[in-house]
Amino acid sequence: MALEKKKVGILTECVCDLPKSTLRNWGVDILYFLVETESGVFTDTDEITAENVIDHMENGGKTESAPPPPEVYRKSFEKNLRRYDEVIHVAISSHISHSCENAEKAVKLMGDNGKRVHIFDSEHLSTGMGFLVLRAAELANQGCTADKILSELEDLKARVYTSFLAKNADYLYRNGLVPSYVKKLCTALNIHPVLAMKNGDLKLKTIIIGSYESACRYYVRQTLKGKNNIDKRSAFVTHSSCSIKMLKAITEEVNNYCKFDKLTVTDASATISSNCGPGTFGVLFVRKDM
Amino acid sequence: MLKLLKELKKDAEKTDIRTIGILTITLGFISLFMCIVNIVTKSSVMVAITGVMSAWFIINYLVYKKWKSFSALSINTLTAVAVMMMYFVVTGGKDGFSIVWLLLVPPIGIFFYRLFYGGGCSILMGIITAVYMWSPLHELGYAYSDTYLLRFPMVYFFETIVCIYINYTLWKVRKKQDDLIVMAQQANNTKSDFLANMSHEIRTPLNSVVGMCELILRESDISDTVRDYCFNIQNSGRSLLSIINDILDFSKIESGKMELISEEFNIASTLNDVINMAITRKGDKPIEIIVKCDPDIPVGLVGDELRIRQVMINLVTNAIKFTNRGCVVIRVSQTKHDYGINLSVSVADTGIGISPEGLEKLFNSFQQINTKKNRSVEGAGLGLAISRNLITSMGGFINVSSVEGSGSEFRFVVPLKVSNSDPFVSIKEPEKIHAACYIDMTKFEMPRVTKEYAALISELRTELNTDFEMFDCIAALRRAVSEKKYTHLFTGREEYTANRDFLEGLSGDTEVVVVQDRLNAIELPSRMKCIFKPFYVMTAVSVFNNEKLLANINERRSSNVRFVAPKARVLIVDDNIINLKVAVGLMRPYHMQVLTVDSGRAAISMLRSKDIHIVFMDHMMPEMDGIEATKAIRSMEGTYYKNLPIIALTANAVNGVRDMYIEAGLNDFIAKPIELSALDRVLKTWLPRELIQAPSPRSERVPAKERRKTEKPKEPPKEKPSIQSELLSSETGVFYTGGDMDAYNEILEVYVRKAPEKHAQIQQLFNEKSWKNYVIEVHALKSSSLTIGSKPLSELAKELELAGKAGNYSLIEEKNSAMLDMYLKVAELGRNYLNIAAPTVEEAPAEPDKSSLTQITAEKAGEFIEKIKSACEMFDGDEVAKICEEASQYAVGDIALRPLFDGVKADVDDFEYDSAAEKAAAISEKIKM
Repeated sequence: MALEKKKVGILTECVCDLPKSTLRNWGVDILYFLVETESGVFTDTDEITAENVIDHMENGGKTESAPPPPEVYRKSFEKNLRRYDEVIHVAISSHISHSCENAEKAVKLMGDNGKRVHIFDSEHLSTGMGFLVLRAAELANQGCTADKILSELEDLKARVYTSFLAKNADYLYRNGLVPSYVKKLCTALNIHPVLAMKNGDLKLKTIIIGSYESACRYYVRQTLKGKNNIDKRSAFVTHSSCSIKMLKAITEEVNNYCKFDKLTVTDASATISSNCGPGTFGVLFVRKDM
Repeated sequence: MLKLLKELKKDAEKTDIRTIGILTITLGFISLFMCIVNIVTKSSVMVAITGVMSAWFIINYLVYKKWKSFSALSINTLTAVAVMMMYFVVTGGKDGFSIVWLLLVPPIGIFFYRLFYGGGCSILMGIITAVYMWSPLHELGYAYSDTYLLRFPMVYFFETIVCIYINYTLWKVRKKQDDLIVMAQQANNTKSDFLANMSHEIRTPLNSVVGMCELILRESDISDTVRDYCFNIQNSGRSLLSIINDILDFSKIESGKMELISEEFNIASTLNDVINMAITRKGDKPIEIIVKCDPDIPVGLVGDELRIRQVMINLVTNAIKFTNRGCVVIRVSQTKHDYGINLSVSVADTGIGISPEGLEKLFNSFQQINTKKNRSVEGAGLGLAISRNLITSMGGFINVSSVEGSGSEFRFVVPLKVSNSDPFVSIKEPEKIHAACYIDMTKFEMPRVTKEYAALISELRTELNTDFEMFDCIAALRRAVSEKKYTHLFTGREEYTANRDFLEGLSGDTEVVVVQDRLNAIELPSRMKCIFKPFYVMTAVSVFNNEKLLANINERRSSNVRFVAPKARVLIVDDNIINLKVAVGLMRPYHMQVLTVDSGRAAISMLRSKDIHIVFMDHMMPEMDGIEATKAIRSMEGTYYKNLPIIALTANAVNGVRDMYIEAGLNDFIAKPIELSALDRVLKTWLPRELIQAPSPRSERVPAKERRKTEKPKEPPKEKPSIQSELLSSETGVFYTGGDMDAYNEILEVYVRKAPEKHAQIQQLFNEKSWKNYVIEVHALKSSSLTIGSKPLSELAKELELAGKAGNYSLIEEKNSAMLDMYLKVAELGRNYLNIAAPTVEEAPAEPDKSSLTQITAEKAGEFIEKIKSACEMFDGDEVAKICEEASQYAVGDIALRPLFDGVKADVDDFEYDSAAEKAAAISEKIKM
């Protein structure tokens, strides 16, 4: 599956939150985001994990994440172009990161070679973006052309549903996603915000009041409402530092409510975790149609 | 637990004050609201009262914001409440209902304002209400019904009593919690004391072992095998220390006193230490240790090498502990950044792995997860907690991934600065290398090992940018060899044994290197090379560069110093003669003028007469300890004594000692056993810069005194028979003095010579009942006796030391004479063994036969003296000794020169160059007369 010469190579970023082994099996190359702390700059996943980031922030530290610089994109594109005729880079939503911008700059640096590189703005993050990466890899393996893959991805990205339930609004406030009064209100009234991707932007969709356990159940049921329109072949439960017990309860709830052929639990990357905080999780899936 | 309790208490206090603040501002708003209502209803008296009330509450809120004072808030607010309530009682508010508000005072007052203020206020208000209602006074106010007047105060008092009772119960619980905190604190202090004592007891003999090894390693004329053995002894000593240090470190981390020392280091040295430890730990376990290291890692890194090594050793030790078959893969890599590099280390194993539940509590203290499975595995369960804290304090991160039953991988990354960006290892001429590696992969049970070895060779090929082929069957190798000439062939022991003839035949044209385990290593023909596992980038490059492996492995092994300070005068103060010897030996390569004294008082008098640049001061000494001596020095007149660097030198390396020493006026602190890096750092920090010089080739040679010994034709060493008696065992002594017989003899000689003096001193202290000093002397006797191999005497001394500390003087009186008798017997045994005459009668120096001496003129003698003076200025002990030897053959008139020049030579032997020059000048005067 992996090493034979193919027409189109697929690249993505670690923020797609897919396990390394899965990406390796599909022959997908990964670019790693960088997480900057007071002491240095660390490569997401390889050098710093979600738990590390959360520990650091819980102890009063600050973190800032950023996509790799254009030069890193360029090198990676060139490396892949030695193996493939064309390369599709599936990037995190351009509304929430400079990843697409840096990748575009890299393409410009490559001159004519850059014409063989296609930057695809997924308008999603985490495993929402992961669905697109896996589909692109599948199509590339089937020998589809870049154009065909890109048009398939355009169609798919509108059907992917990406949402998360945050335990509280602390990290959202720290990262400027919600104002201070919302954070205070959430803490005082035990409110758990639900965030969802809409038109490439991560927005506050709704709030759930009450204990976190009941909020989790409620979120799962609400998210999977209209299950007849959900593609039941695959779904992801992506989380940031949730306990084993909690994950078990979440997957049970998902399975009780909507039985997927394959339900995969994945860890969020350090970059994603630094923005949403510990205890955040999301049930991500694809709709049959809009 | 203790931390948690403290935090809970702190939080509770904060919450109380915050609650009162909120309550105050709420009451303020209520009063304000009432004031507005009264303005609307045009009730002018009520407007005035509620207006004042609201102002009062708002002022109180400002008090809260400014001072956060519980008592100020309580008194002010409660007084305001009381006045407001009494007004309601008297006026009856609307239709007499307002009196009901009074019933809120006891619960709110007592629960929020605690028993003293809240309870006091409630009772006071109850009394006032009762007096008002049960006396004719009530006729002045609102007309309550008689039943109301009778029953209300009773209901109020009942409510107050219930509230007080409940609050009292809560107060008792809180008090119990406080008591528990105090008890926990006391237990923690006891633990710290225990740690202090334990560290002292264990570190003192280890000081001798590790220190003596360091001295041996500095000798130039020892074989590589001895160097290797000695290095391993030193490493083992250090590993023993690491167990103590683990506990001490954890204690330091807990109290936030962990200090990181940033200095330049070479990853090669660190890695080598880790590998040595791993090999020792592995023993004969059937696991492969595979090391993958990026050769481009800069040679000069800046960080706390000791701590990085500690974490690496901890992770590797854990991996080996929990792996019974397969491999442990150590990978060291880097990523470059503007500030330097991120050094990443990962340790992967094929061990038992960790369950997802176990991973959640993995980095907690004192926990070994899955205790049923790990029952056979030793460890305090502190390693990972310490590692995480150390890495975090270095600004890095540590994480783990694991699959139960398949193995685990621990990774850490630390950001480091770079002082020299050259790669730490490189091949001289990579284009000339055509290497092959033959490993029969079928010998490994697990495919993972095969995969890792294949990956290792592939990485070596890429990273070293050289031709390096891998063969896993002999037929393929034979074919390749017939077609191509290889410069090097690496193979394993099993492969060599199975294809001995073929490989030995190859060794003419190709350098055949057999990689084998230290244990079970086999003899190889002289034309073949042997290297020990693990085979990794450093050993490969050493072979390619044709370097002597032992020499290049670790610069620490040869213990080269990075500077010298021949003009620096150092004073070492320690009552333990063996510790003095170790310290002097360690300082020898710096070519400093080292002076030693054995007490604080002697140090003070030495400082009065000589200019010293730095003092190393032991803590525990008889009569005047290190801290007292330092205080005395600091109180002496003159800025010199105020600024003189005094460094604590002690085995008492527990929490907070550094602060204690600094507070006492010392400048820095070195823990025993002295680590070369620590000594290096302290000398560099505290010696005046103008005294520090780069080491010249001349100063890198073996010290003068030792060289002189070797200049004489070497006589075959006389083998002394070992001594094995109940009282004294040379075998034990040799063990404690670092495994070297000569070092043991030297130390025993010092012990024996000092014995009469020490014996008399202890007896005198006993007679004077000076128990404090007696304990210190006996403490010194305990460790020095153990060091020379007299366990019974050491144990008896320890018993008396503990008795002295516990105030059990009757036991001392009972056993002192037995101990002193034993001391004499041990000294006698030592004297006989060394063949030293008893120091009862001082032998007069033999008069030289003047008639046999050649006569020279005073001018000629003066030439000798001038030469000695200039050699002294250059601190050239060799030269002085040579001139003295030559001059001793002559006489000037009736004056034989030997006795005079012997004095000069003796001073030089003690590094007293000034004194030697003065003596030489005195000779000149004497001859002229």
